[in-house]
Amino acid sequence: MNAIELQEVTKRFGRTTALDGLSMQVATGEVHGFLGPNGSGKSTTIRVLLGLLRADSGTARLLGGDPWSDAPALHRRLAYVPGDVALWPNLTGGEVIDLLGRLRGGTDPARRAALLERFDLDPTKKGTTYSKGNRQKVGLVAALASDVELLLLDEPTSGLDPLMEAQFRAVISEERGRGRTVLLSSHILSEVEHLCDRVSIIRSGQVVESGTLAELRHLTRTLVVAELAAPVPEGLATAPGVHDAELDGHRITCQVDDTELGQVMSRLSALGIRSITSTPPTLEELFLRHYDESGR
Amino acid sequence: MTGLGSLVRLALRRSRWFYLAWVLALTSVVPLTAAAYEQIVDPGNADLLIATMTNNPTMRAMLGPPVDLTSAGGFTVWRVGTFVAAMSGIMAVLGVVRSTRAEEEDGRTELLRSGATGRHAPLVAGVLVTLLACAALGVAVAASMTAVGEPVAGSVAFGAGLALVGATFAGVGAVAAQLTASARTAKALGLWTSPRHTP
Repeated sequence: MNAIELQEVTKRFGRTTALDGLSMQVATGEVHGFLGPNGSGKSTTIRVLLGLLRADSGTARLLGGDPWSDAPALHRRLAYVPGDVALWPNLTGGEVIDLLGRLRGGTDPARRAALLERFDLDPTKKGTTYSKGNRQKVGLVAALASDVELLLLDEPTSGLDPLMEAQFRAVISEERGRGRTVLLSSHILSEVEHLCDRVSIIRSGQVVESGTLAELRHLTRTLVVAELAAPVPEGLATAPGVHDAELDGHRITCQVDDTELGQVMSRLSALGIRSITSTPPTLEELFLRHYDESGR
Repeated sequence: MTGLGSLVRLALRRSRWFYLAWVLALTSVVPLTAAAYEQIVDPGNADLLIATMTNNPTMRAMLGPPVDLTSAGGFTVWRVGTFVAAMSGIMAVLGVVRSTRAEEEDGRTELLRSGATGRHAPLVAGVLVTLLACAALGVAVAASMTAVGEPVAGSVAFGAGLALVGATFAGVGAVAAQLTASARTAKALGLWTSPRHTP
């Protein structure tokens, strides 16, 4: 069963179409990356899943229920961290963690203590005194300390320093080990790359690409730099799957479609390879390319 | 209404000083006025003074026709009753908007609603806590009037009247909060509806 199932979901705000027939699935137990630029509809999607917004059309299923009509019951089984955690000025971080935990049916005190330790958060300070990063930590500890099946995280690491981001990654990996489902929206691509089993890319309110990172990489190119024993023949630059080739005597620098990589490699090795480097695309490149090309 | 208890406790926690300041300030006006009556009206000049106050057109225009100026209680209700009632309305509008629209605007309601809370629970909690503050004002006024020696029945009627005016404007505040997108507009709308003819 899928933890999240969205079919052709549309949401308009006046004349603005925030979600334009968005469909996506998140399988139970997977960490699913949700990537897209600002304003592409990530937060709107999550608010529909939380039952904070009602979709104009389409169907949304969350943990087997309806996110709008079954909201209170479903919310005992999930936790949410927004990109900007707003705290009550006169409540301490610890009080907020307990309050949010109570609303979900309780927190595990041992996990709460362990998470406070790991995120290096002082829970005795008042809401007003926390920095942006510390407010995010309050939200993260509150969400992670509850025993829930699904975590909806909307750019949860905004404002965290690199050390804490690493800590966050470690914690999420452990959560996956416990079988929790995670929907992680982000534009920090390295985060998604390290953590996620599958990724959906959203653009202008539609999911434009969805799959495992390996599947998405098939759509991409690998940068190959090779030094050959013989001068590079001109024909190689126009071979199928070879792009942006630069020939310089014995040296070739080019982008190769991942599907044609084997062919290109055999041709290169037939010529005698002295040295070769190939760089797999980062998600950044995948992402940029996607938006560069489908944006036109 | 899932989660209402937690939300009521949170709203109380959030706004306890706000309501305490309002209730204390408004309540203190009442026994102070009653005490002033005893000072200005002594048995020797009572009839003349009461006649002057009753027939003074300026005072009648501002405060309305007096019902009974022969007692400190009647004088207090005439002199500050309208003012305290109007203020209790303002307290209620500001109080409801503060714990509903303002909380949502600051993004805190979203965090609460991601927990197991009913869709209308935050609004109901905000209104309940404001009604509680209005009731507290009524009780405090009735008690303070009784304490300065006024009849219990009249004191309770005065307190109850103030509490009910406040309760009415808790409703106005709740509607204003639903009609507007920002807390500022909600407060402006609610206060625009409130009794403005305050002395």
